[in-house]
Amino acid sequence: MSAKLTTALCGMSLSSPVLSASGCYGYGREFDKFYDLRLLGAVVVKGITLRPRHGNAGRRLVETPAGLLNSIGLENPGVEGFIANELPFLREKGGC
Amino acid sequence: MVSTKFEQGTVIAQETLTPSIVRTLIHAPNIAAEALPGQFVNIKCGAPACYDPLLLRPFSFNRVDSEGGTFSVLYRVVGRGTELLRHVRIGDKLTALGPLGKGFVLPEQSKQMEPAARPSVLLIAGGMGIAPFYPLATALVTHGLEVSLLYGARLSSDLADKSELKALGLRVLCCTEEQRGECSGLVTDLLQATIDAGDRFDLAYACGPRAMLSAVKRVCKDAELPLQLSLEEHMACGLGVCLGCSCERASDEGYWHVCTDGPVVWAEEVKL
Ligand SMILES: Cc1cc2nc3c(=O)[nH]c(=O)nc-3n(C[C@H](O)[C@H](O)[C@H](O)COP(=O)(O)OP(=O)(O)OC[C@H]3O[C@@H](n4cnc5c(N)ncnc54)[C@H](O)[C@@H]3O)c2cc1C
Ligand code: FES
Repeated sequence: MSAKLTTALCGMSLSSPVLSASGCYGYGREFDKFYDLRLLGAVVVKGITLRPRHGNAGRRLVETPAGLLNSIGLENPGVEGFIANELPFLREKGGC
Repeated sequence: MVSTKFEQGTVIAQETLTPSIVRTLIHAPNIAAEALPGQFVNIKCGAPACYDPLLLRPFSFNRVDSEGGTFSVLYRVVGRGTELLRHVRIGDKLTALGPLGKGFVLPEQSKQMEPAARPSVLLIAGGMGIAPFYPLATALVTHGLEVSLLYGARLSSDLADKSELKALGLRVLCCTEEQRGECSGLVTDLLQATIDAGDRFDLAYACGPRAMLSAVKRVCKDAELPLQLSLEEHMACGLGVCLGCSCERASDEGYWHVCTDGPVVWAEEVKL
């Protein structure tokens, strides 16, 4: 990555200013099969709560003209689940 | 591990079976090379640079020719995406993402089934739920299994793939909601009647509307017949990222995600 793209953000030095948007990028793992995640400056993961959450019952998605409304209900594995199951992969891909 | 890819496919043929049921044949060799029965593909309906509709549409593989590099999807035109797809022309490019999800578990891979000398398998389809069954039936017949199909639709003209499945050697029983011709009624009544008549099966597969799957699940449970369901849910990514395609788990609180945990699941794993 060219030095020109190096970016500082909240005290971190990122190799590129291109970051995934939270929510639509899972924990990064799902996109690893399409391209090298190291090309991104950072992966911004889904929202994580202290304890795991199952998310909302019922229909969660509705398409709108050229867009999408969702109400997932913060389904996530909780901090401990994230540290145990997702963080090692992100570290392996260069995350800190 | 599913090896999913984006691929720019080319439309090879467009077959209008009824005013609202269409089959589109697409040349996309990377996807076709790996597609398994019961898996699905997300297709961008509409011009490449057009983001309305935004979401790709999920369709089961209806035919796969891995050597020829093609697959087809069989669909009912129900809204904007399928309306756009029915109007594609031969030579048009289509972006596809696949293969996606977990497909059908074949009898020899299944722990749920009692070992049998020549297992007898039952397929149960409602409406467009027929779409994934041709590749499955081909695999089952190739393995030397005895395969029956119970197939329900609203109109007898909607019974797509009926003769092709018969030609594979399946015993096919159909019913429609019309009062003439084929047996009249719902496929779940036909299922109950078939079981009541003493027909015995070792494994069943069902695909169709949610209410039908729920009724099929009840009948198969009473008959102690192991059952796999191919589920449909509203989807966005198809990759297990958005968590939009949830389906309640039977065993504990929480949800399966139909695009990655399914679309094919064992009936006892889900609450319908
Ligand atoms: C894994 C999977 C495999 C599928 N395979 C097939 C197939 O082989 N053949 C086929 O005809 N259809 C199939 N479907 C359904 C198909 O994806 C929808 O009919 C299609 O996306 C509708 O797009 P549209 O823009 O035309 O309709 P829209 O304008 O988006 O919607 C029209 C109507 O269809 C309903 N609908 C849309 N998507 C879904 C969905 N995913 N589940 C239930 N209802 C929906 C909407 O609520 C609305 O009432 C499958 C769905 C899934 C999830
Ligand atoms: S469609 Fe996004 S997780 Fe299933």
